[in-house]
Amino acid sequence: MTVSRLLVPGLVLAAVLSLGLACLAGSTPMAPGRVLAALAGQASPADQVVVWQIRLPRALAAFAVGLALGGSGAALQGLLRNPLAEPGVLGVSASAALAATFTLYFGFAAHAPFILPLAAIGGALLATGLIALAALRTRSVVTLILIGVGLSSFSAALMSLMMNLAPNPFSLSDMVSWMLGSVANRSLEDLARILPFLVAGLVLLWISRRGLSALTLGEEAASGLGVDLVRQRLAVVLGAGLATGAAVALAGTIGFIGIVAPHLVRPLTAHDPARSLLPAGLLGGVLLVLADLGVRTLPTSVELNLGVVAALIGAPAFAWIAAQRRTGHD
Amino acid sequence: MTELRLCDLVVRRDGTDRVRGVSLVVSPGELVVLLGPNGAGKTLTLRAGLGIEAAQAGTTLLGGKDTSRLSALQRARRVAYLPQSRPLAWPSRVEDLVALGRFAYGAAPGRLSEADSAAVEAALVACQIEALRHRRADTLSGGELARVHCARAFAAGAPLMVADEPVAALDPRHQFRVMDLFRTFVSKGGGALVVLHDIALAARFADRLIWMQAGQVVAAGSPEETLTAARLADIYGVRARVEGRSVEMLGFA
Repeated sequence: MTVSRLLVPGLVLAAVLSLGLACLAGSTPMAPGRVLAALAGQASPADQVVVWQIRLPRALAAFAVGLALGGSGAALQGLLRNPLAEPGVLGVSASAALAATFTLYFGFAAHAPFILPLAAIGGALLATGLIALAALRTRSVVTLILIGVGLSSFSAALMSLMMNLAPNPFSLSDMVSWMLGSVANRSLEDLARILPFLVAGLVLLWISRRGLSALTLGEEAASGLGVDLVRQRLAVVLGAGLATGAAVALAGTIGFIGIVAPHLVRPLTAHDPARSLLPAGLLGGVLLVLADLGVRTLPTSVELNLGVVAALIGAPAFAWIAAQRRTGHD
Repeated sequence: MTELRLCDLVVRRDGTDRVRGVSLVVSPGELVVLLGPNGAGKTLTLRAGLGIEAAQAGTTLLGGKDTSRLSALQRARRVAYLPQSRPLAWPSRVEDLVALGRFAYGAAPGRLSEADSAAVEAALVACQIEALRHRRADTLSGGELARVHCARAFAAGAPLMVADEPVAALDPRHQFRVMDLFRTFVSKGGGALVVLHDIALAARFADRLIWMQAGQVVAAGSPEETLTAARLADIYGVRARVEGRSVEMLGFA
């Protein structure tokens, strides 16, 4: 009881601390006093630039991406009643990244700054819509996940094709960075551009969370309880599509955080999808801020991409969670 | 006064009429049992009667109002539904599962009003699962789980209850316990429509039996009136000895 009551305040505190830590650490470590002064606008111009234009935007971007992916994962898991459902596994992230890469390849992205985010969100909505359509036809969640794997592979194949045909090394490296996932060199403007979509998606997921609890009993009982299944599906698909699309527009594909964060949170929220939603998002944010901090401060000759590190940790976790599942209702 | 009334209901699936002109009434204070062999259209009748499944013809009235004009929440406040398959996606706590019964009143697990908490508490007591309230659902026996699902349905406080095979896969003692819950519900003025496959159990507990065969109602009335060896031979294809409300199955007809 006490643990679950302290969970959200604790995670908010952890989020603030991790964001603060991300401002302190880096190639030139700064003392807390200097960072606070810079945040308040009282420090030297160099310090101001480091905090306001480099470290804080990057940390906030990592947090926003983790929040979106953790929340979307928890909501999709509630809707599909399976702990393995996640934007990455269901092919939503890959479709969004494909659409983003598409605008880069054909040079559309250079015309206006909002074209790439819109394309990414469109790709994500298309994928969540396809999964939801498939969900109407089949009751087996395993089938849905396999459809997602197919979607993911197809997106990856098309991306490889575009990379294969890339006209010059610059567009190639742009595309690679979308595939690998990174929050390096993101500005507050980049964040502001995707924020409306991110917020809209998370709000949709938040207001439809009660139906996710009811779905614990299965779709038939849930509709008997008064859940409008069509509206419920639509809200989660739209919400997860918007939030995931916004995350991919900001950082490219970062996988598995949508599985790992909800999985860690669930035992502390009595396995209730509604009560897991906010903690899963917050934990996703904290995990990505810390992972990005690690990426930045690790003494490697070439900086690692955040998406690569997330996958290195997340993929084994995915396999472990899948192996823990008791084969029961599907 | 809330009653469930189906008039000439027709449900077509894959080009064939699976429910063909079913009419029935469930009134407050009566336990009505729907009987019939597998594939007779019992579950479809329930689902279409609740408006969960679309019907091709006919009307269903809940307390005099057309079910198709009620929102899902309005319907859920008038009738609680216990479906045949009861999968649990997560190892939830018992009291949280029962709390889901209050969904139609805007409640959610962990967010219950005073009235919601009182209803959940009463349902836990009625189904004798207070001691299990903090247990995880995946640690319960089949009999315990059946009572949790019943408590979830009773917690809704709806005047009507529709249950599809609530005692399937339970041992005789637990079958009696669950049926006793429905009898208590009915004795307090509720109306219940229950699908059963155990004819002896139906004859013991029902006020009225409705017999279905091939999508139609072929007989309806008290067990004394409608339970005959000839009917069992006709509908189920079994030979049986019937004395009043007691039945003994002897073999194929």
